[in-house]
Amino acid sequence: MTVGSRPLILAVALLAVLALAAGCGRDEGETAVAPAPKDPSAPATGTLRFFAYGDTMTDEMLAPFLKANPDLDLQKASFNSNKAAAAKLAGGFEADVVELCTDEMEPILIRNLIRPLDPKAVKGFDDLVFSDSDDVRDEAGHVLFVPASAGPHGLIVNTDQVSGVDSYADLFDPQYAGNAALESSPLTAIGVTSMGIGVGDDPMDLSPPEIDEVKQYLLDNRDQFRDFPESDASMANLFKSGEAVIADGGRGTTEAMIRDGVPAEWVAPKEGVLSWVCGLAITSSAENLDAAYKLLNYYASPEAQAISGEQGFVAMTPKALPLIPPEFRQGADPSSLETAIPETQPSASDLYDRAWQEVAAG
Amino acid sequence: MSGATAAAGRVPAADQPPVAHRRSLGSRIRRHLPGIASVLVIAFAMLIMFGPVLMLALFSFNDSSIISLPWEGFTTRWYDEAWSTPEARDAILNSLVVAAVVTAGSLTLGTLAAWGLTRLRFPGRGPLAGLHGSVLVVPWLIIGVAGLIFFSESGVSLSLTTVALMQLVVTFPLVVAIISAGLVRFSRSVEEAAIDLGASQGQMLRYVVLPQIAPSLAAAAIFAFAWSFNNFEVSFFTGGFEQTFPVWVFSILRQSENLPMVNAVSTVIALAQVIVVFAGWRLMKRLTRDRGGDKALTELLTGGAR
Repeated sequence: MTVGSRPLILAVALLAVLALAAGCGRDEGETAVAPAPKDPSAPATGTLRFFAYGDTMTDEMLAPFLKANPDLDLQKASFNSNKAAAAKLAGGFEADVVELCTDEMEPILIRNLIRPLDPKAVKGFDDLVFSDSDDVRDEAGHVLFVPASAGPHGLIVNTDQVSGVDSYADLFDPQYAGNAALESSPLTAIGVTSMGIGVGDDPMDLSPPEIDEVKQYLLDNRDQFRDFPESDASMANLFKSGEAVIADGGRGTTEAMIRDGVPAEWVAPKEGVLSWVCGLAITSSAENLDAAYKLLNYYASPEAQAISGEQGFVAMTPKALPLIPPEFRQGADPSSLETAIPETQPSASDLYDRAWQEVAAG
Repeated sequence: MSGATAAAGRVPAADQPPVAHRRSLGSRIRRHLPGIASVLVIAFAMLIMFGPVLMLALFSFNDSSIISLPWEGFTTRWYDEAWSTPEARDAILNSLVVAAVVTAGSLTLGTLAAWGLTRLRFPGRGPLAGLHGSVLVVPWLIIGVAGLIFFSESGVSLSLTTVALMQLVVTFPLVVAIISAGLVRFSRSVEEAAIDLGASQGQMLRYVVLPQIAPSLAAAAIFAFAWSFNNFEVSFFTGGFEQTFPVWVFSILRQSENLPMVNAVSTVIALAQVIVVFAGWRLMKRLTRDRGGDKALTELLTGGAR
């Protein structure tokens, strides 16, 4: 499971649309910290509008929340990227809670489409993985969202044909020439390669010369790669058919392959694990703040994170682990994310995009 | 020409078996070559067009969440899973309702507009026709966002109604184009003859015009329904908290495990669309009293604009 790659053309189109929406859309909403509910124990009532990825708001996940708040009318709308969500919100669509992912939330932040929240109003906030990260805060130190899901990104190997792998540099090992794969995402592809060849200190914030160096290395070694899969499904296909034996990718993707009988293993490289991080934020147009906080509290709870763990995500709080069935516990263990580098939008994200475009085009 | 040569030229073909055979084979190849080439080209085109859909249908029965060979065994569990997913059922139902409304609306408005553009003479007819067509070249993404901003500024809550209204905007010009083509092909003198023979305007429309443009109407209906049902961009931006099928599909594809279920639902929808076209073809045969099925099908798929 990755927040992963989106086709560049769609991204450019959405940015254009975002500009259109920015010019003609609604006025900016409330940007002050959302006040905490006066009575946090009272069940939520009224209408709560929830705007998120479809797999974040499954029936299984929301059933306990709805049972605990029987008088709440929960309305759900889904999107397929934060860029699309930003365009829709900027155009005037109104929701109370929206899902953000650190690698693509910039359009939402720039337009002030969310308002900071009070972490004291979210029980167990400090137990959540990444809760102390700068990436969940704005420049003033206000918390922007409650981390609700994450997934480590490292190496996937075919255990029948590959062994002793522990570095992103192994993606470029000549013995795997023509049988390696690199996920087609500018951020992870450039980041993973930079770590593999030792360029730059922060893979999520390379300087322009460093990006150029990584790009040139990828161009020089392009034949190393069988393909640049656009999705988890394509990656799984490559491994199942035997076309790829080593690739970068998420642990969730690897576990899905293993469940399907593919001899695969996920490896945490010594250079560090990347991780996508998504969470829930309160929009600047939110009307039902009490219910919004109720939902944020639910997603931060060990009970909700246990359900998330059973669905293949990493539980964001260690308190959820005892509630997760043993067969899912290892995959859901948040300790794998303790030293992970969050995937965030780089300051030179357009250079990442352009560099990857050149590599992918050959 | 010498006498000997002339004499040889008059020898019956039966007495020259090798030459005659070669000529016969060559001429036979020449005669059949266009037909063989046509079959090959059509087969290739069919493979390119329908191969992916057939693969999708095939893998919807594969007992694996990975859409790849080797074959892991036959299963119908993806269909069971899709059927037991309320979001999938709701999304399909929403898309069917919206597509039905959009089809009916665009056919009504499109027929009236096409009639006016092809049968009436008034100042500005050309620019008005161009205005209709211009919507067809504007990206749906832009139309979707424009619709969102329009509804937002107007204080209209987003819902399936707003989705249907904006889809009507993008579908209606297509219907106008298809039906206009049918009307242009249909001679106006036949309408005048009906009036001269005592038919009222209503009778003329019912008994003369409608049967003639029936293939165009059927084609427009099919295309309007398909455009509406498959539309993502407009539906995403102008939809509220009830999602259509394409929006649901895009929202769940983040997890690769959902792919086989989407395959199963898509297979059913593709099959349903084939059945709709087949039903339309049968209807055309009945309406046009055309015993030649191929002609009726071609008329249907080209909107009678051949």
